[in-house]
Amino acid sequence: MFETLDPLLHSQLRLSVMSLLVSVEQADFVYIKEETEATAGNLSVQLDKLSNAGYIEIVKGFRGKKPNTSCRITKNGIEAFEKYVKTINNYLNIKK
Amino acid sequence: MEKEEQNLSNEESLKLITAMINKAKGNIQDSYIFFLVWGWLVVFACLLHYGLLKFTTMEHPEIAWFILIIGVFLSGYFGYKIGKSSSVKTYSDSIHGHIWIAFGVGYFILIIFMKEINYNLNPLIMLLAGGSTYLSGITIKFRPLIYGGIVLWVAAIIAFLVPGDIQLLTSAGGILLGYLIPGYILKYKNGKHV
Repeated sequence: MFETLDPLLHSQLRLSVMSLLVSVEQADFVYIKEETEATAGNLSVQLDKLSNAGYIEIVKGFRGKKPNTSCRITKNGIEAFEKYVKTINNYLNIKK
Repeated sequence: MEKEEQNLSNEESLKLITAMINKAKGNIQDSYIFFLVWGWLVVFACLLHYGLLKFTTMEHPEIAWFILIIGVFLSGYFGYKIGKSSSVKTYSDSIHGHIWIAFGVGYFILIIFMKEINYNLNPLIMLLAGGSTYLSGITIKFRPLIYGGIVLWVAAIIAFLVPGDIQLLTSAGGILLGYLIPGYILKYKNGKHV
């Protein structure tokens, strides 16, 4: 039997964020917003959900005098992401 | 909110993952600055050393190489500036930065202790330059740098075989072909992207 897909990752914006973060060391909020074409409000909410689940780490700091938020994926996040991709691949292989 | 509510099919999920991963590219092109800084400094040091050797009676024309120390500080400055201004840091950015730190430290130690190796700096500078250029090229997947690294290794071999004054000209030529030309190609590519 198949495992169900992680509902936290099976959402367009959260999956976009996780795919982006899995490939970089860290990325700023503004960068993620540009690449995912999300609104700031929506992105904030989704980042909080991922952070609460322990999938990402949000670091708030300053760049010069401007406040700056940057995110990086955690070990748990990488594991969850890998599991998600594996599950999807299983689904697709069965279909063939 | 609309993005949140959409239901994803499995195929759509995979497409989305692939698309986002492909978007995650760092600011590798900015690194052309390191090639230009080191390239011009080494060429200048070679020619200055050659000039002092041929046209003056100076006891230690090798002191020309001390100008490379400027490069250590300039590299640090540009590295800091690029790091600070970028909104994303990829793994290759990080490795690339460390390659330059590693070889920068190498140059620094070599210059400080050049007396111990009887001032025969040239082939070793070419070896270090070849290593950093080749690794940079591999890390950022940029062929002109990979070829540049190979050119510099060839220059190192030639430098080991020819007399001191010719070594200086070999090095200047090696750096021109192996550092500066790929550096300018990278810069040109950078300009096109902005």
